[in-house]
Amino acid sequence: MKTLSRRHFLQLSGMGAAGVALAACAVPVPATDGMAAMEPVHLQANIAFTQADYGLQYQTIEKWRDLFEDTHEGITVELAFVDWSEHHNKMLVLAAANELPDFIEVQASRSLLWIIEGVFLDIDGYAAADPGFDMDDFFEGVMGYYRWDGKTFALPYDHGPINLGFNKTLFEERGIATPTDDWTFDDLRAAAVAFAQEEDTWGFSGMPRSWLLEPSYLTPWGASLFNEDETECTIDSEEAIAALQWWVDLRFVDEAIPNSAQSEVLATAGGDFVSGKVAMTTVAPWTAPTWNALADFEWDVAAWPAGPVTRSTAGLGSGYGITKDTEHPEAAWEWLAWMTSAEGLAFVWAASGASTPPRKSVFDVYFSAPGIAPNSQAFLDAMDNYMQIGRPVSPYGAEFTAIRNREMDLINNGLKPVAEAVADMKNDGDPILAKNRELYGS
Amino acid sequence: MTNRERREALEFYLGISPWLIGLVCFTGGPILASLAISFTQWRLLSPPKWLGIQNYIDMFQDEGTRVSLGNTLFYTGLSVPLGLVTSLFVALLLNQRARGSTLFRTLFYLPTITSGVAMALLWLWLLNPEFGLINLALGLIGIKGPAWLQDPDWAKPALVLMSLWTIGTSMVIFLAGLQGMPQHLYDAAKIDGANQLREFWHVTVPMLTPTIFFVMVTSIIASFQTFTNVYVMTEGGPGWSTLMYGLYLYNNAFEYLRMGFASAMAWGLFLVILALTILQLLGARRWVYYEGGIRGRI
Repeated sequence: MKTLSRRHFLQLSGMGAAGVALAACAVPVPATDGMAAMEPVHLQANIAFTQADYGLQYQTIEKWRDLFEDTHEGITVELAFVDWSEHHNKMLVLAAANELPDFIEVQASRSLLWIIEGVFLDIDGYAAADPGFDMDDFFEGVMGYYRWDGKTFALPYDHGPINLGFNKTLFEERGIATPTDDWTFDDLRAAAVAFAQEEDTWGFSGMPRSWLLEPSYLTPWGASLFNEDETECTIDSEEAIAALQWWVDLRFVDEAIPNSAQSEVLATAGGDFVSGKVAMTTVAPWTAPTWNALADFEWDVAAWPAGPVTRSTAGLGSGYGITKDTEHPEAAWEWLAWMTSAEGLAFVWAASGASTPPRKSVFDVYFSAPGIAPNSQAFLDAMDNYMQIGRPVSPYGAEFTAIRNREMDLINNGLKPVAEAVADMKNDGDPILAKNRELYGS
Repeated sequence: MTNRERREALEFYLGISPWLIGLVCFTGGPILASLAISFTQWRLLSPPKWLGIQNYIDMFQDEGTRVSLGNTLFYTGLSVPLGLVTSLFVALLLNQRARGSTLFRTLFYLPTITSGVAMALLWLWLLNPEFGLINLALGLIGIKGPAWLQDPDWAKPALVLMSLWTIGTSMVIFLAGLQGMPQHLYDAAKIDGANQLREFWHVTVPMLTPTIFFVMVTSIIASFQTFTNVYVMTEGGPGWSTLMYGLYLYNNAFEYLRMGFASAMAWGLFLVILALTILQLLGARRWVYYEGGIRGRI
């Protein structure tokens, strides 16, 4: 990575929004390894953004790009911003047409699929040859999404774990002890049931679902969704049935979780929690700006409770990778390293509080960002200690999700007994997952 | 051919060339490409592999295809007749020379030009089992409304109910048909002593059969392709009860990366619609009346 002069950095920082710029100024400039001079190179980079979540984040990325071009003579980067909701499909179409740009964004849950299908360049060699780039600074729990077969193919730029968000005002009003970082699910149930005694108030919102299912809802009970290489569904175990039944009971026996129709009515742009009638729910770092803007009560975050067996929760985020057919791998590496360096992550993401960083060294910048969750330390603790990958991540995992969603829908709506639903999930899901064996050669 | 005729022909082809080029390149090309893709396994991120007719064989064994086709047939079977009757009824009402009928025509047509996503979100509220207006109205007459989209048994009927919201296009077509009715037939019927019901049954309906036939064919095709409402409102749930063919096809193409299988599904859908349309064309000989045409020939 090339040197960025402090003058350049401050000039550009001054152009940004005050909050972002102030935080960014505190960040040291990237180290240099004295990259050899290159022929003029023009890179194409595709970046996804969500206006609702990140405001004018893309302007910050453009500034960071300008700074890159100022400090990397001969390399220009053309940024193409794609709306988050369309990004995956657009990349698929570009891939199908052999028109992928040099550098693309990828969501963690789909990254292994793209890696196994051979879209990305192995970057370990470039990282090893770049002494200014600290690979060990990334949280190990995050890198699982971007490594395959012992090699690294992409790098994260944001990553957030799921924790327990709670309405502090409601807890204090009812005189119920607020959640702490050593809570278990028994504590959660006791509090949730206490809240449910009053009409029009719910103890918790959310049921086992999507990519949270395994790490946040099954692993704490010692259960799993798949075997290690996702060639077999293992949700029919006694532990998994006990875990899912626990949540079904909390909803239908204790009536502490609103049903879908009730949630729909409570829901606002910030979800049903913002209504002020729900005591606890799941929270991710990227939820904080919305809740801060919409909630008219005090809220806070605690660690996701521990289950009978362990404490575990899901984490998800996004990353960037270099496409394998790029004609400019060296320049693309420079850009990737620039975007995922501690300085880049601080400038673009952490300083604005948009998302928790995947690098340990950047958390100090995140902690001083405006609008982050009150107890953001809980996110750092999760990333450091008990955050797991949300599966499926395998190539045929997406096909399995159709079966998973079908059965979880029925479980969560009380329309099918848990044991019957998980048996059907396994029966219908295993033939799909078995196709992964061809890819793994097992 | 004279010079003038030659020039006119040239002008004609130049005039239609933008559409013709568009059809060949941007519609015909992809249609043919999808046929070729349907014989491959293509995960989009890697080159396609030739599979022969395997995708078509898999279609018959695939549970998702079976369920989604069943759901789509159920939806079509209910929504098309109901939509036909309702839109004809509304068109008959709006065909009266009453004050404000123009305003009502506009109001009935408005939902048709409303964004599909906005409409879906609106209906999510209307169909909410606890606080939705539909169950509120049912409650007023002593009926406890079902859970609609949260109940696998009621989710499809809820979508059928919602489909009535967009009868505007059919209504306008029926209205045009009604306004083109020759007055002398009604005069003759009156002289023969026909009341309004008989006029409707023996004059309006027979004269309107070509319009009814057209609306029926296009409505069936459209209902087989229903997508936005289930994509936004239910994602196929609960428990695949609203998994429509179009949504399952889309999921196979872009979520499960089975583009070859999705292409085979698209051709399967084409064949189903083609077969149904041919059946309707054959059946039409028995009941569609074309004034000035020979009975039995269409």
